[in-house]
Amino acid sequence: MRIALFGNPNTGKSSLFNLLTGLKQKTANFPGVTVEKKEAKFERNGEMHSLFDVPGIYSVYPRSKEEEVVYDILKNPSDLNYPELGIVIIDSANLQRNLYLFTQLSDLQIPLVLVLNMQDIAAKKGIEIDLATFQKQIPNTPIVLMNARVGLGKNRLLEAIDLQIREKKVNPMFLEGYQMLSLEDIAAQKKEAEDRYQKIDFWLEEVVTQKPLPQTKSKLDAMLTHPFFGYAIFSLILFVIFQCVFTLSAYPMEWIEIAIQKAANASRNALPPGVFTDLICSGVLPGLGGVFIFIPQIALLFFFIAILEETGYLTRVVFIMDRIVKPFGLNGRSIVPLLSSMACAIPGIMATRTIPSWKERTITLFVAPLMSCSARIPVFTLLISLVIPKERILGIFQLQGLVLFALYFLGMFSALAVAWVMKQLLKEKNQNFLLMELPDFKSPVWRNVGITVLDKIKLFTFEAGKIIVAISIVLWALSSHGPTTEKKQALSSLHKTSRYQKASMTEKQSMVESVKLEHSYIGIFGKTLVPVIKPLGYDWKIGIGLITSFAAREVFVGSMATIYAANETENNLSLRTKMKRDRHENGTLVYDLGTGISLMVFYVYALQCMSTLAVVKRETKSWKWPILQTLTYGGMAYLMAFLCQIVF
Amino acid sequence: MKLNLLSLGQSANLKSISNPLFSTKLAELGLIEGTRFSLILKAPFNGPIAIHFGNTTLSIRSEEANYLLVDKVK
Repeated sequence: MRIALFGNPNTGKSSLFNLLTGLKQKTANFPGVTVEKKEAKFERNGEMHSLFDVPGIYSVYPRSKEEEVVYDILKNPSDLNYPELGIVIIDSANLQRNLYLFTQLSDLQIPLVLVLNMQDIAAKKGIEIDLATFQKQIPNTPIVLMNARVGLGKNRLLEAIDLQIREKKVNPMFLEGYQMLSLEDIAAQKKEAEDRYQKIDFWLEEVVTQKPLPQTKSKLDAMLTHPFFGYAIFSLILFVIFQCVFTLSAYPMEWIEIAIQKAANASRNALPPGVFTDLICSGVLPGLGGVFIFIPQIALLFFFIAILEETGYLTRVVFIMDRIVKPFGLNGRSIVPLLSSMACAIPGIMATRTIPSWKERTITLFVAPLMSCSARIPVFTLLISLVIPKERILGIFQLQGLVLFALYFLGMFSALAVAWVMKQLLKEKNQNFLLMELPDFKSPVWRNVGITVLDKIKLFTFEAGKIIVAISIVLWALSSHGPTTEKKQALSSLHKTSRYQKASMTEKQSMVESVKLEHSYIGIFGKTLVPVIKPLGYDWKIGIGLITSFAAREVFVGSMATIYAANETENNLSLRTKMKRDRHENGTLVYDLGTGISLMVFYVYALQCMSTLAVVKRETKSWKWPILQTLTYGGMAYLMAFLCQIVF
Repeated sequence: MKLNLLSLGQSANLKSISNPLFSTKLAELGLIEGTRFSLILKAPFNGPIAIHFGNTTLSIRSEEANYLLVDKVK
């Protein structure tokens, strides 16, 4: 049987779904749309059913593209996802409004189970529900009292589900002869609302008593939305989160790096020498390493975001940020996707699904890649250490740290600028309203946080992962093969140099690798790029780095290490020394201030991450947007890098 | 009077809504002509406002609030 979980937002629906399915849940899409569908196999009494979650809605009639998916399914009983049984979860403190959806579903004659959740909170508000009288109106729907956060009532729920699987009982209709209306018939929908609420109010008159408690004005809310403190608190929270993410992730990142190296060495020793071994050890494993190494940062960032979401704080953020970002064509809800993009743009872009307006959503995902992601950090760190002196400004601010901060700021500022431009160019067809609930604050349900983090890790690992590994393999192929005669000539000249003959075993190996890379296909591409990148102050070696960055931006560092025949030891000390000393043919330093800054700025803008492009294409279902992004950002990268070269 | 002119903490009854689509969406949330609510939060810089009715707190953009005419309650 197909069993769907329905409910208003903020009713504990996710908690209930996680409670029933745990780690068995899989996230897919509803067919044909980019709306998340969480589903799991659900076994009852030897029979296998499918339990899936549906976006939180107040009514079957949608307010956004995401909600439209539910409307489409319910309008068409032969739809693949049409539910044969529905579990409707209700916030006991908000019975009237929550019952709207329930009565609609009941009138569609779908067998239902009603979960009365959050009874403890209702009791605190002085709300009492006379269950016996309540049940009389819906005799054929089992009612289950639950506290989904802690799992109380789970067994009763399972019994009720079993009952309805067997009996499939439906109630008499609230609105006689009800049929779903068409999307455009707003007047009829309004009439339906008036009629339904009339029935609901009549029903609840005998059922619910609320002791009028003095309404204590929420001091917390007043502070969180205060013109000064609201934003100060938000900035502070962001600062703490990013500090934690970057410092705490450093340790696991080191372990992962070491583990991958050990794995590469072990497999190189274990497997017979040859192309296939090379492919695994120099292509696939480093590629995988490049993916795994970012998991700690991504996991930590989403951990904190999930906590903010679970507590209800994020709705307050949307509340105070909406007006500020609107002039840039963004939505208050754009904040989370943009923040997430600072770990990795892929989950960030997918998070834009919650933005109801097509225009605001498109703009958000378009500018998301400008929020400097984790992969850029190794590049920034390397270049800063090369060209920015370790001085302090005004005695307190570290110059190197300031430059890093400035790069992030440049990205964010550019994101707003591009968003503003797009706002002028795009046309919005539908009206979209904010109409966002501000739920009571609650402490996070840790099970939900854990499942969310795992979900995001899976997303990143598989979505970004498969592309990064694929490109790594291609790059490996191109970098280990090249026109043989030139390579042989270059290698024999190398062998003749005194520098080579005096070198140690490992150093000799590095020098050979460097020459091989220079004369590989990638090396040739790098050299062909020179006329284009010369105005920016880059040489062919940087050219190679730019190309390999297409796998993942941080591959730049690895490529530089290979080219400069430097072993990646101790913070790339030997690499940095060699890069610092490198000169062009005319004697000038390769990494002078101008080139260094120019290259950093180039990385702020250039859209080299193929995984990002793939996700944008999937989310917008068109090649138009990723191509536009690549061209726009490539152009901006070039222009800004050029300006920096001139200025510095 | 327009909803925007209410001050923080004041209660009012919803009188009319000039945008049909907005009106319908509000109705589905239980907010129809005659419903009583109070204005409990205002976001800075002419941002959204939050109104409280029943046991629900709902945020509405100030442009959207312009569609609503209300009768102030003492």
